[in-house]
Amino acid sequence: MKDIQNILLAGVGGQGIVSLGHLILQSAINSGYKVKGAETHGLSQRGGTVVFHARIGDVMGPLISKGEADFLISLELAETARYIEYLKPNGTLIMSTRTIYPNILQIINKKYPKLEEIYDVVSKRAKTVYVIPTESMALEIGSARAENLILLGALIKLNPIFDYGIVEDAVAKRWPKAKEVNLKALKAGYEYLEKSGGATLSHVLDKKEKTM
Amino acid sequence: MTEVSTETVSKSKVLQLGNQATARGLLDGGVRYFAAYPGTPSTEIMEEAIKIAPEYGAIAHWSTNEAVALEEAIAAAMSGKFAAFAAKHVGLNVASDPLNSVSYMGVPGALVMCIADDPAMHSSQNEQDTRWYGRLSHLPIIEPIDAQSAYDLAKKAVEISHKFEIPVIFRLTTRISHGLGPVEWSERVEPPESEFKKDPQRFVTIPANARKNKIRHHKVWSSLKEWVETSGLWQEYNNGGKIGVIATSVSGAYSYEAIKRFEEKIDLLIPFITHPLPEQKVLDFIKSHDKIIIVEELDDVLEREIKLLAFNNGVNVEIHGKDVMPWDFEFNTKIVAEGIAKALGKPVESEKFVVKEDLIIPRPPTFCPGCPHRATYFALERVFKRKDAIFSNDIGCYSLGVLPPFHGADALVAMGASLGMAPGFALSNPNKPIISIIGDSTFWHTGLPGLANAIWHNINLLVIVMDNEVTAMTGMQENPSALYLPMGDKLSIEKVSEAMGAKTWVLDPFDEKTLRKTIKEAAEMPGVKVIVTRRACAIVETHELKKKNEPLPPPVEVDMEKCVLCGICYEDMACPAISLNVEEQKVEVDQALCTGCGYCAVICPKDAFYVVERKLE
Ligand SMILES: Cc1ncc(C[n+]2csc(CCOP(=O)(O)OP(=O)(O)O)c2C)c(N)n1
Ligand code: SF4
Ligand code: SF4
Repeated sequence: MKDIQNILLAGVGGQGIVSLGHLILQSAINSGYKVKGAETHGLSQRGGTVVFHARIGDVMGPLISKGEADFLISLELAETARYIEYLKPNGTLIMSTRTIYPNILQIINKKYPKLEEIYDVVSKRAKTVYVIPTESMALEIGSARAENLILLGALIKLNPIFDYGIVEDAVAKRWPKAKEVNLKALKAGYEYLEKSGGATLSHVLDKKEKTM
Repeated sequence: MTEVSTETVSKSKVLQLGNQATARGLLDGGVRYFAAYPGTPSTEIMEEAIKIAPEYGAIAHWSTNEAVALEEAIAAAMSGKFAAFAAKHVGLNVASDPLNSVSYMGVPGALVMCIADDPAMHSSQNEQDTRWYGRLSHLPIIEPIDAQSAYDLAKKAVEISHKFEIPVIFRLTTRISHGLGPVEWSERVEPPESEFKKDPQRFVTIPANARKNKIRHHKVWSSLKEWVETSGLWQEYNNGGKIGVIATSVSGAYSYEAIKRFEEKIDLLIPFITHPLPEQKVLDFIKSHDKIIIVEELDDVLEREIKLLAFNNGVNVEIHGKDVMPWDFEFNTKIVAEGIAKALGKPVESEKFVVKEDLIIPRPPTFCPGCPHRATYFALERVFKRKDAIFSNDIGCYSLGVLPPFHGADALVAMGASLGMAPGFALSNPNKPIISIIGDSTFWHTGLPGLANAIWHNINLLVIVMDNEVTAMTGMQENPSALYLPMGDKLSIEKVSEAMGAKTWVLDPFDEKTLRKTIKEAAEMPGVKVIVTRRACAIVETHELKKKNEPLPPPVEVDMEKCVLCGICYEDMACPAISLNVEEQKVEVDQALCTGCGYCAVICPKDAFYVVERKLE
């Protein structure tokens, strides 16, 4: 099983998860790897939860089974809790603090979980957890919809399979018109992990207090 | 983690969905006439075909429904063309009438019917197994296991269909259709020139001819069966073990990975043609093993066949199937490995890590921000206030009217059934208002006969046609009245309903007051009344603006001085872009989600919404 790498992407319809998945697979192909993947289509795309299975190496089937993902990349806070079981007990979690609040909670009187509560649970499963405030970062870059690329930047920083230049090329090819802002987002994600303080929960929480 | 196997793939390979690879395979196999009706997970076969058809000079288009699409393809194949048809599994029910007759007569050209099943019902109302249709209609079934094999086998399916003059069922499942993999294309096949040659004894199915055709079909079937034995349409992984797995479709891929997880040597046979089965190959395989495990999603189709084969040939071997594998929903490598473990009498580990339930929030699909359907439901909700009305609903994005905060669906059975069921509801419940809700694509698909029937029987019925000017649920396809229609002139829903004799209105669902008033009035009138609520799907609107390089409308903002937190926008209308920040007691608008449609401003009693310049992008 060592010669397979499984990357699960999770989030909400409209967050650009399928594009992110394609970029990951295409970059892996361009680096010479075999790949398989699975997209979510149809009903679940209407604001529902969306997952993308990206598999690299000696793979045949398109799906990652529960407990077998090397990486979980979660674009939305509460979705992290839904998909954390897919992560291997010693896997790596890259999670955004972005929250997308479903109105149904208001109607059924249920609470949206707190960042700390989710962190508490997911850090029991993951070996390492990287927490990234993609929403504020994306707004700073000037594209509210570039959160997916920030996380991609973080993934390539952590994952030796990917070559920064090859991924950049794939991003530029996919969005020739919005190339600049997307490459900026990719870089921002990559550099976020290098910065002092790093992508830790306390780093995010500290920052929050300062800006308040 | 650097240990990932670096077996290189040729960089010329393209990353494709199984559906896209299927389309390419069909056209490279010589298909020049392709008709389909959309349905998840089959839709991208036609979407890809429409894109690439000009390269081949091929005809590829959407039809009004599956029966019509198959009939088009049948006529093309009768004319000697290599033709194809695509639908989701339930779409084949709609097309099953022509299917079961064309099978006897066969076609002189070629006819490949791509049908996608949906194990786990990701986007479907049932989990029916298309492989039974092969048995019902006596037609061959080919099953790819990934995108590359979808390409290769789609091409092969065209060849087999032409060689034996027999329609072929090409069966996919969600994970094949929406599974991605690198695909390498091979040489194109040029189909022969052809046109229709009269042959009424074959093509006119009066009973006398049908009897002859049935006998003819048996002969074709025997020669096909013989050919299949040496066709090589299977993949075998021989590890020299005494345990053998036979798997089809995507289960073949899962099994390939699962058998490597055992210390025992386990062999694997994946037949690509599963009806008729390559019997000799399967017999040899089961005879050379002590234990056989059959892995197939959905029904026990292959298991029955193989058990019968073993019985008929006096082979006494232990055969497992649904006794160890699940009956319901989809598989993955782990599920298959667990089934194999059960068959081998080994323990199955259970997962110890569980996330507390209250951390996992529900996130059902909802109408997009800016969706016109939400506005129509909002008006309906205000008029009927969950009272005794019966909402006979249909299949499309508007089906989501079943979910809170709306109560717009009491029954939903099949496409067109909102109107088909109407007299049944009206005449069995004479004191209740009956409301049929249907979309534009579904109106043309199977709504017309139901509407005619309701008017004919003169029942009291309010029909709401939620016309978002596109077939949205399946990802924005055209239909006869779609807004952006390269295919021809637009047909008129209101003219049809008026001509049938129903009083008809066309309204903008965002004009909340007029819509509410009209619904009230119409509901009280006798007979069948039709209100067409027309406004383009929000996704289509955005696409069109982007295409024209026009700026998107700016998101709205809320003036908290005016807002009284009445909940009309975030609770009753439930726009996903608007939410209540409970801690700060204020209404928030999500900048990335808001489309600036302005409907919230229409319904807010305090005039609290206003539009600001879009700062982003
Ligand atoms: C027989 C059958 N064919 C196809 C489908 C797939 N399908 C589900 S909804 C839909 C389109 C509905 O379009 P429309 O009525 O215009 O509603 P919209 O989604 O645009 O609101 C289709 C094709 C199906 N469920 N059943
Ligand atoms: S896709 Fe269009 S019709 Fe469907 S929910 Fe979204 S806006 Fe409404
Ligand atoms: S509808 Fe208007 S008043 Fe009511 S909560 Fe929304 S913004 Fe406030």
